[in-house]
Amino acid sequence: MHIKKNAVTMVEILRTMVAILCSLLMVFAIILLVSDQPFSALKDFLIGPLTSVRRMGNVIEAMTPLIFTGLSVTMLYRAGLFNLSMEGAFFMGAVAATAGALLFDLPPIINLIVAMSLGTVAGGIVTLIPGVLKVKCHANELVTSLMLNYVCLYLGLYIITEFFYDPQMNSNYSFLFADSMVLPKLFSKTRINTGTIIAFAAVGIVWLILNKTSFGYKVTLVGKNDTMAKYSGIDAGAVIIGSQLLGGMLAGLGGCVELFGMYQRFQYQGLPGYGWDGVLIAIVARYQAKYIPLAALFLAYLRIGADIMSRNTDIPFEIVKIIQAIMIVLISAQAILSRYRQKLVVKEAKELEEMGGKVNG
Amino acid sequence: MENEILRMEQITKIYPNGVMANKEVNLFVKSGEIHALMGENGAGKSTLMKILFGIEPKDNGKIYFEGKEIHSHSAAETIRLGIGMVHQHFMLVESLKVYENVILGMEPKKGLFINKESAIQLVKDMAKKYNLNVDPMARVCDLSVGVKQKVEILKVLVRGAKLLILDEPTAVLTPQETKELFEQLLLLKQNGHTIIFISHKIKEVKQICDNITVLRGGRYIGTMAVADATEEEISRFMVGRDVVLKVHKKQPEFGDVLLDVQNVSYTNRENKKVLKNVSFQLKKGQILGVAGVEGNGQNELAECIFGFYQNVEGKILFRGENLLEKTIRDIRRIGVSYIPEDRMKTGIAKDVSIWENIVSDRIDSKQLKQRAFLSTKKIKKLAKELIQDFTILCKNEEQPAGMLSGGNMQKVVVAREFSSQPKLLIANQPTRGIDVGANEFIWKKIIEQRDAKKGILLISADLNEVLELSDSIIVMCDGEVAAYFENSSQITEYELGLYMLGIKKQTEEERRGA
Amino acid sequence: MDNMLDVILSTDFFFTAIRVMTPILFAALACMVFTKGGIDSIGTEGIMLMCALAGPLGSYATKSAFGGVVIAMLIGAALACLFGYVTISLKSEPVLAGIALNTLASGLTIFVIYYATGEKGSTQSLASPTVPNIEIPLLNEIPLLGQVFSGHSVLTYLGLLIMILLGFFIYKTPAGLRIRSVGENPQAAKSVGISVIKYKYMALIMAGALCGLGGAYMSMSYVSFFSKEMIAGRGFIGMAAESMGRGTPWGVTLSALLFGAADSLAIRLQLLQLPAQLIQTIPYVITIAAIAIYSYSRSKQKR
Repeated sequence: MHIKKNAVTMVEILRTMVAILCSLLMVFAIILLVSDQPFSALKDFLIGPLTSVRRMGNVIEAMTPLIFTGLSVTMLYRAGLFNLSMEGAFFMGAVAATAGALLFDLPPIINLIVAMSLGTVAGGIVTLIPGVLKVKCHANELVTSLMLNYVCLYLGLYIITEFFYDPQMNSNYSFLFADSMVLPKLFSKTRINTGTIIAFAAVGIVWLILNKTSFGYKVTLVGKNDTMAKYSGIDAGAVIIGSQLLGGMLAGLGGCVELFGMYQRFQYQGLPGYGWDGVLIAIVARYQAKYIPLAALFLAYLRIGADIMSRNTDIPFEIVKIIQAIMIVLISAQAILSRYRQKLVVKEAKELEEMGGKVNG
Repeated sequence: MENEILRMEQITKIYPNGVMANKEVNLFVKSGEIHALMGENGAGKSTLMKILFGIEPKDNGKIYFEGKEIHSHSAAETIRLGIGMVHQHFMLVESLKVYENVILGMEPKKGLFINKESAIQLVKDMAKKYNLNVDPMARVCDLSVGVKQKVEILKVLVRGAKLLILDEPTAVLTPQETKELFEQLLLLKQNGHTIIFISHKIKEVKQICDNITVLRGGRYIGTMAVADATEEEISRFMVGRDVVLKVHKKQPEFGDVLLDVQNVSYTNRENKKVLKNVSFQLKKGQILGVAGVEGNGQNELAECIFGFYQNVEGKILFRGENLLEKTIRDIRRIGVSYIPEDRMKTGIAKDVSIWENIVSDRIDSKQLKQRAFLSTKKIKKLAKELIQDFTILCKNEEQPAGMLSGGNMQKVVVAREFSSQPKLLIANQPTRGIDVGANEFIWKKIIEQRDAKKGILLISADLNEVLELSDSIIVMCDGEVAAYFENSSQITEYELGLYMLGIKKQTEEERRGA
Repeated sequence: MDNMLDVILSTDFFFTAIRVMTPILFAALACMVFTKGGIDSIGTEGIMLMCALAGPLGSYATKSAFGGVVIAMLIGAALACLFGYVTISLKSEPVLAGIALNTLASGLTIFVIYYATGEKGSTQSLASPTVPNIEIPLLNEIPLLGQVFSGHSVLTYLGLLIMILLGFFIYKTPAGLRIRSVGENPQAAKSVGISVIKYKYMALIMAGALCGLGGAYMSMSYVSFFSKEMIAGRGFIGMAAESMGRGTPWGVTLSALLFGAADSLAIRLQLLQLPAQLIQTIPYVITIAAIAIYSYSRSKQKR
């Protein structure tokens, strides 16, 4: 009788598994159909990332920003809002961090901390806007946040080209950062850096907030049933605004970490897309902080695998996006396994009834 | 019978969960009459209408319309036969114009396009014929509830309905609008239409109906001619209690005044005055029952006290503090708790675990924390205790609350609201739709609270519940306090019914004690 | 300052504005039909991208621009129906399904061009017929007006024509009325015997075909080939234009024109060494403000 997981969770986990399996199988089928060398392609895709230290490093490097945006989406969506401005928040985080790195001339570590704080705050402000508009004006956060991403893109590019543009570069890149602004590398032969440690720290903090503070509790409750939350005496508006601020800060911090960990100067020319990836990460992790690294690792692994495969064979890297798309649809499809779910629910109810019968009898 | 337009014979309906909603119900409607279908909530009126419309399949019985047996499977089919329904919750597309709503699904055409002129003319003609004063070009969202109802009636009429069913049409109307509606209904009758008028307002029924069919508890009680029946007789037919449960309680010992409601009035979003100058007092150690047919302001009263609305007139004093100036959070903090009417929407979050539901009102409490953080251990310990105390039948405290049975779900709400040590408890339909065991348990808990000198405001549409549990009773009718009885044991259900249905009303003098 | 006015008030500016507006107009009209039918429109971006690829491939295969456009419209309708199936039958969360569709589009397009042309970024190597521009007789002889309004792509004129026809369809025909009722209050529609599914799919097919036209315009008229991610947010902008235009054909068109004008302005200002990127943010900021103000006033009204 002491099965920890309840029927609903079980079905959700099962659905996630089925979705992953289905999407991978479909992609294998595509590879088999279109590739001239399907078996070497599959081999590269599946075990390629494990074949050298550098490649394993690549997986970890790719995982790091995904952890941040996955956490960001988790935070944003837990409160029940489809706020998609984590994409803009990530970008603005990197822009603000660039400004912080190039404007100030502070002692090394302090300058890094200041720059990253700036980026984090900038990210928070971005996602805060659709949140505030939702709470105060009842404006649909979906459209405002999508539009906001473009404001971030153009405003960010404006800031970089107007104030930090390095004329020696052909593209609109910023000046080089001081060496002290680069996050220290952890292992030789890879570019894994302290950013990954920050990412894991962020996972811990988000887990703590969501599971161990009354604020996190309120975020979940507001997201699940705001009428009930209000009736319980919770200020739903404040909770929504707080969660949106935090979500953006996570994305902004991700932008800083990616910038100082992997680059020496600001060189994004468009929105990098990590925010959208965050959606997949968050739903695979079922909006739970503790599963975010696993989901991020999974996607990062697929990406590096696909990258290796695309270099060695005739399968383009973009096959990963097809996997991503199929996974999102299948995981979110409530109708899949709904019969099985119903069966489990009925079974559970019957068990309880019998239990009740015993208690009463 | 030749002039019989509708004959529903021996209709029986048992829902999959075992509830018998209709048991051998008859409904015989004569052509050209206004026939009242009366009964309290849960009497089986809407089930009967759903069966007529083919929305719910019947388990037994026969339906004849104009002498022919019908087996309708959809609303559209029933409409085609000439039966139309004006739902209590309007079926209108708000952003469309009146004429567009009226002709939706049967648009007159001119080539590829809707023939707007003839559509508008059709609406105008119909409106003129039946004196339904509606501007065909107005947008539905700009209309008042009364006019929206006219649009619904027009919709039914242009579809050629010979038989119109109006589901509690006056529930949402102001007195003036009601008067207008009645004139229109009589005009429809003159034009040869037949109307089934669902209502529990006897006065209104007496005013316009020819015959009455009464249902109670899913059963057919009888049909009578309005002319032959007195209001008292009808009331006796309608109101009755099936004593399922009895309760034993001590003599009450009232303490000081705990809640003092003074001249509270509230006008809702639809601009209807749903509370009119309501005043009463509740003392410590008292269960004050609020009786009334549903929709007479009881729910709004509870929500006013608990801080759901702004723009409430009057004063609600709780131990000297005016609750109308406070937020829900503050109201809870000073010792009021509330069992809401709608547990699925307001009482619980169904996707969230039992333990999370149980602590939703006290999540900021220091007792649940270990330094700055929530202590899952402490919370779950509390949840386990309450699950045991309130005999909530569940797998464990991690189970989502939505997976529980209705009774156990309600016990989760009750556990939360009772365990917060309230001084005043508002219980709004605390036992609706739950099993007898849970019902009995909740009653016991309510009496325990009273004996511990708490004040309890019990709102219930279940007459048995009000009469069994309450020490004193107020009756609400049409947003007003119609009567007050200091001692509930001195009043019979028959008498209560007269006040509930608006046949009798105490004078202000008599109510003074409240 | 004079210099700036000259640049803005040139016929070139207005011509470019209309040119840039066209794909946004198609996207916005598609979003309008989606929204009228009560369907989430976030997948517009992805459908347009896939149609942008389907256009040149189709015109290459059929050796005619017309064939390409028709194939793009068919693909658009099919994808919209897929979206409908996933959200209506499989009960996927529409926003997530839309995001999935967009992700799929950005991956699948590259996948397909790689196998069709061997390249990874564009279909430049494919000699695909494009949609011609046309001079409007008489109009093109009028000074100024002719330079602004004549010489656009056939699809631009088609777009404006469709805008007007769509207005008639949605507001004047029985099917349009039913689509609106199904989108806003399916219960009410059902209660008078209207098939909700049928009219939802009708809206999906129409909106999908409009996405097809928008995509085809990008790769067969705006430029003459497909390149990756070429929709670049125009589908999302269409959503915003629909929202800002309050779902009426003229409002939607004017909103689309606003985006076109701002983009055109940004292109002009770059010539003057002015901060074009800052100008580019303007329509987005206006959209956010307009939506916020509109929502605020509506929520006040409801109170």
